Amino acid sequence: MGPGRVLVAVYGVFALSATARSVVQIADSFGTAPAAYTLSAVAAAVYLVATVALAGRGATARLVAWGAVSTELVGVVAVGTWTVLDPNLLADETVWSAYGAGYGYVPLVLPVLGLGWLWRTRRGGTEPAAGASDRT
Amino acid sequence: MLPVVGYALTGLAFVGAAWSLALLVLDRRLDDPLFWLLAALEAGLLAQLIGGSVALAVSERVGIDGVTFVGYQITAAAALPVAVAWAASERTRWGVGVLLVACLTVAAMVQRMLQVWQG
Repeated sequence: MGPGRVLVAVYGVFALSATARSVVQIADSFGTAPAAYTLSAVAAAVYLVATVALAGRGATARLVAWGAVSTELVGVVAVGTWTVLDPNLLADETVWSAYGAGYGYVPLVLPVLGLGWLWRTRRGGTEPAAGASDRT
Repeated sequence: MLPVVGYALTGLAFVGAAWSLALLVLDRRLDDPLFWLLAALEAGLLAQLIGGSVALAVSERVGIDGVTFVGYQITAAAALPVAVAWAASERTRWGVGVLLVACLTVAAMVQRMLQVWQG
């Protein structure tokens, strides 16, 4: 998989941490910020689907990966812009608030890298054989 | 938990991350020094899991989110072996890239442990 393996590793970390955080938020105090915590759960689900799809092989996995990573990009840009314009919109932080500033903007960079990876490895693309010439 | 253990684990994780990055840049594979460094880090994380859980059980302080604290301890100790296995099945230089991500993640989780322990 080459560099894609690192991408899947980072996605795995985000899937795990977003899911864990979401479970704690919803189990602990759903009533205090229902919109934010629902959004956290949606983001966690998107990361989980993206991780599994990026790690998988075959046309279906790639199609699902395109969908999940695109959804992620739209989500982080939409929620990011919205929360920057109106900081009091949501009663608590989400992974996508302020373009993922709370997570070092990784949530904003990740879908861009993901789409770039999917584009580069598309059929007929320029992805070299493993270890052949993937010097960067 | 003992702050000094947290700092030591963070230090080890950062050395592991720097070493992984160096191997990635030099196009090398996982070498013996990095392997033993990661083994030491894993031993430390397991010791933290046991010691930290005992400390949580006997502590009379309030305001510590115990579930989150133990959750971070278990996840950190489990994440490293998974990452090494995931890295080992990659034959290109990007295998150590996975170790880089894993070491940074462990460092972040140890920082969160320290924060949660402060209450």
